[in-house]
Amino acid sequence: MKLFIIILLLIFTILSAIDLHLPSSAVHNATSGLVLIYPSPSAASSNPACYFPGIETSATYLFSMEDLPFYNFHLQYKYRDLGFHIGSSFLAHPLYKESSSMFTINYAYHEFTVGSSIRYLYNMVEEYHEDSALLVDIGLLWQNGNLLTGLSVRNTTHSHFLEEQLPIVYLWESCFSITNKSRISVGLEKETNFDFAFKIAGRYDIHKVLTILSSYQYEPDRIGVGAIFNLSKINICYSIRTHQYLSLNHYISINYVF
Amino acid sequence: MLTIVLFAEDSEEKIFSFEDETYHSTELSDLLQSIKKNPINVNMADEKELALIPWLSEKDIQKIILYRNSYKISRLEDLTEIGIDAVTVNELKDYITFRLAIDLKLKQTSRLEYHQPKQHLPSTLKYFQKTIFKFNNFKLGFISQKDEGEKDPIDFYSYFLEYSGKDLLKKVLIGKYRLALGQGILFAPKLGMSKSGAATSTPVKKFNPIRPYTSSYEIWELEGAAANIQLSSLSIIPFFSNTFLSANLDTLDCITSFNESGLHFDDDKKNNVQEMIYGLATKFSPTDHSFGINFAKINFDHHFNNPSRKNEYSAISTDFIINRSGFPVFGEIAYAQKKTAGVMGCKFGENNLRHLLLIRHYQKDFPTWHGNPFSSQSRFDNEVGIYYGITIIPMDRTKINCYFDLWSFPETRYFEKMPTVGSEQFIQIEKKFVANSIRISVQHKDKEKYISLDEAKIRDFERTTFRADWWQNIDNFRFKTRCELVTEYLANDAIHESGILVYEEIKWKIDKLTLIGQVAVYHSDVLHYMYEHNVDGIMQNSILKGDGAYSYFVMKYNFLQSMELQFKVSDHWNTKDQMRMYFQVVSSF
Repeated sequence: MKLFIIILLLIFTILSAIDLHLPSSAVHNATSGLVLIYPSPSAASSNPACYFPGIETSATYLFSMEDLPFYNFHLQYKYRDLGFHIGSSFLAHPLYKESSSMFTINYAYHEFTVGSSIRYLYNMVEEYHEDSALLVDIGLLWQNGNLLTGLSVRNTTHSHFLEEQLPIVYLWESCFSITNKSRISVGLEKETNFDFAFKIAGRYDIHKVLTILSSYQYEPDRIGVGAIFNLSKINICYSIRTHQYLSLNHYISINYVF
Repeated sequence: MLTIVLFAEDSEEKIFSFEDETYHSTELSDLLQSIKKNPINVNMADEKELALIPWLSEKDIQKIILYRNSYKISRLEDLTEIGIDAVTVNELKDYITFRLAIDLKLKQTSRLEYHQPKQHLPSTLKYFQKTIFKFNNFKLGFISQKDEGEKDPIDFYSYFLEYSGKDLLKKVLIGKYRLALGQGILFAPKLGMSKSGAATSTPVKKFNPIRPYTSSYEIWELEGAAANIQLSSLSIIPFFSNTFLSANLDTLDCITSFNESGLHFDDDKKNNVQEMIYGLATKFSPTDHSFGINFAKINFDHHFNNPSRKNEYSAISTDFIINRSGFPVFGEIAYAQKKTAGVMGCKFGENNLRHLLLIRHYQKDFPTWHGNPFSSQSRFDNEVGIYYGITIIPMDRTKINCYFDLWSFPETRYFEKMPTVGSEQFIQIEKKFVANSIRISVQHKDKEKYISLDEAKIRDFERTTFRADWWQNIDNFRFKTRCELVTEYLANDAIHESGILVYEEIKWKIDKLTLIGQVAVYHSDVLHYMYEHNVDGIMQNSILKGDGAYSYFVMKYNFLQSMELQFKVSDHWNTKDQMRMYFQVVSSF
């Protein structure tokens, strides 16, 4: 029954507007989409100004349903003050397929970083429709002592998909390092035709090999929790996130830091 | 301010935050007050107890122990004679006693209450009395109460004999008692706080397993015997109870519900169901950790009219606390009547940023009568939820507490035949200055929310509370001002209601006299809940609605060293016949 409802939602509603808010990695699943609290290459998919070099791959069964696997791959590379990122996500179901591929470039100047992404969105529903869209995202980062602030606007081009305009998403986030082991991040997300979503996330490094992430999002209400195992340059993250009506979203990511 | 904190960390200096300072000074002050009320007997106290007196050095303690092995200490001069300096002895005089061998104490509390709204009842007065007699390691107590309208002068009573030891037999209780185990799924006091401004503390249950039942609440007590046997790190707690409950019965004499009000106007419905419980709890506590297994067999002499509830069943639970540098991982899982219930949580972080995560999962119709673990409301069956609390101390004397709680009732609850969900968000910012402090709180609650699949039926009830509190200390006066705004919104019917409450409270304490007065004015379509001062032993939560003013006055006078008179009167200015009066005498000998 649950699967049927989700498939219906996926078919009849534009993905990014149906409140699924699919995170691009286990870290972002744990932090309710706040990306500055724990640097990972997939952060550029949310804010193109994020430059955290490495390779990251993630996988999940959406809402614990084996018929709905969702994969992510992200690569970031830094050359002097320039950062480059390519990323891809893929949701695979026999009836429904959606993919998003993106290329990002960002530039750091003193305490500021600016970035922009080009995103190609493809969606296909078997025997129903097939369409694609090109989107442009922009982002800004500002480092001021222990405070890191980011602002991003996704879909600045007001692109259309199936003759409907895709939503524009604004995300503001500030991450504050309280001590060298503890960080807290707060953010606001506004999507066209939706209320502001308030987010708060915490990070605590219990040990050099173990980090705990936790978060809360208001409207819609979600709580996310994750653990990251830091093994030298390899980080393995497992996280869960609640949904009011559906099952937990379990997520796993592997990240190699350059 | 932040720079100072970070610098201190870098240089590995240990600095106390304002919170720590407050805690330590308050703790010492509380300890001294406590010792002053119950002075330490220098002829009987062991080394640890003597060390509680801050002015006594280790050498002084050794001198006292050596001397009293041969002689009785009977006056202050004896202490100077054994080598304790005169200044220290002078400081000690209020905190020590010389009476030998017999430690005898009596505490008597008598309270009368008159509620004008209930003056039509045949017996208007409500009364409560508590007598506790302490003799060395023994405590003997008797509590009785009668509500307004009840004919029986001892409508409710409690009694107990308690023995407290230090070795194998840590505690033995005979009479009425309350049991609290693990995180409280099977047994816990019902009035424990679940959520509060202390976002990372109150959801964690910390219990003393057995205690005499001294509450005036006429339900949930156990009657029989319980003991706490201590074998090194292992506690074994056997318990037995045979008590009577007041229940509503259907025509087939099956239990439909229990009377939780404590009011017994109809003698036929009083204590009409027998409940028998016996069981065993074990707790293994090596160092700071603890692991427990609890078992109980429960038997009611009547069947329940709900066929999914049996009148005879076993309940078992296991609980644990694993402490890591004061940040515990804790939980309890219970099984009864083929239903499971579980709560699990962990605290993590540093002093400046603490987190608490807690999940619970209680199956529908899990027997909840004696339990009270963490839950969104008073009943905890049929609930799945997750709680996330954060405490942030961003700078000195500033504290931010927030919590977020999400829950769902996966099976049918009150409205229609639909599962419901709910959520609560809370943030509180507190700033303390030298003589005053300010606190701002915002709470938002979505209660009993459901959306039917076709979206034809939507219910979404929201309640938002904004509250600002300000305290000011001037000499012996303490002023407290509160402004509270509440809005309620029922989305499906587009009903929007709101209210405002403002009050001023003044407390004046000088020597043996304490006076507290409060005036509250309100203009509201919704309910305002307000805790108010009362005579000792009563937690009163006033509910205010409409347009009006409410005030109360409390006086406490310690007219003899061992006796305190307490009086309270409260009234609604705009409504007739709403006056309440309390008169209480507390004496300790």
